[in-house]
Amino acid sequence: MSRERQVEVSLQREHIRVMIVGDVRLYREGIAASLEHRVDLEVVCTAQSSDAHRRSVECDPDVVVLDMATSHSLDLIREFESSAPRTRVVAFAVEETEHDVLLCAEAGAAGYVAADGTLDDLVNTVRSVARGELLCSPRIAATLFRALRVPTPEAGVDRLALALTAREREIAPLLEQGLSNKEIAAQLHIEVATVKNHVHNLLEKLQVGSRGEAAARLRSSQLSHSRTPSFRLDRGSTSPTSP
Amino acid sequence: MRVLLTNLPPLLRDILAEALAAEPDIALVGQDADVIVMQGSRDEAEEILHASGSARVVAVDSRGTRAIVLGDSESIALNDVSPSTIIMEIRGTA
Repeated sequence: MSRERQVEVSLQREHIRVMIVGDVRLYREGIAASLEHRVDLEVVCTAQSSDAHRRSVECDPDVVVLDMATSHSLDLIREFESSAPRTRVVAFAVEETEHDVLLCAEAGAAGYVAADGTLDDLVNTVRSVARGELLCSPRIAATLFRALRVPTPEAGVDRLALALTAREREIAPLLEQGLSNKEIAAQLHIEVATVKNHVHNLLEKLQVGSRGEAAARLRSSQLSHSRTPSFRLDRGSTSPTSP
Repeated sequence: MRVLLTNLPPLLRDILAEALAAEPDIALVGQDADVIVMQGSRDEAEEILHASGSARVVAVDSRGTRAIVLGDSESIALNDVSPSTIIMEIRGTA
């Protein structure tokens, strides 16, 4: 079932199933008790950070409300994002700076509540992320747009380019042209073994099983027509420098 | 019993207000409280206690994990506080 379909099924439930994660008992228990008073919210479980992953598997929440004062909170968001992609994370007690909000977003949080946010802010954010929406200030919205800014397909680069290293972007058009590893090596003045490694990585990133499939994918992506290095704000494999 | 919530982060203030609203013998007030619940240090709590004339002050630390309860002749330190322990301390029944 696709993630979109899973979310739709989830939203057809009568309540939004909420899990509260935090190491501070006062907030964990207090938020749980408060959310229980909302007719559309059901607190299915609470957990401290050390137990969060196991409890989320047991409780299958739609939304996790995570106290960012919790130790390793960003790692917890990443864990939820990878192990339970249907579950959406609301981070609360976030310092509303561009830096901290971007860290939350990059880790995979679907929404956040600022450190000076109210209970109503938290409730509304939980409801919003359950609908697939984001509540945030215009300033933070602008920050997120800037962070997501990428060259358009019309400019000859698509999102696939963001996942590739500079050397892989050099090899991609040659692969599309049907050149062998030996021919690519000769053209780029590098070892054949090095080309093999890059081609292997390219096939993985393109999620294809053969050079022919890779060439087809590259043609459809327009990536092979671009020489423009691409960047992204996060810590990824998008260095503009050659490996 | 009249309780004043002051100098608390908005989220904690709202959580405690909802918890206290469910207690029939407790009323939230804006002044002349029997008990003041606040966030702050021991010194700040003592200052509030003496200035307000309230019988008791419950001061939660900045993390929300610890609290001290100050009265005329008492000083209690609490660890791992919860909404229910704060309500018990407000009533003086802990």
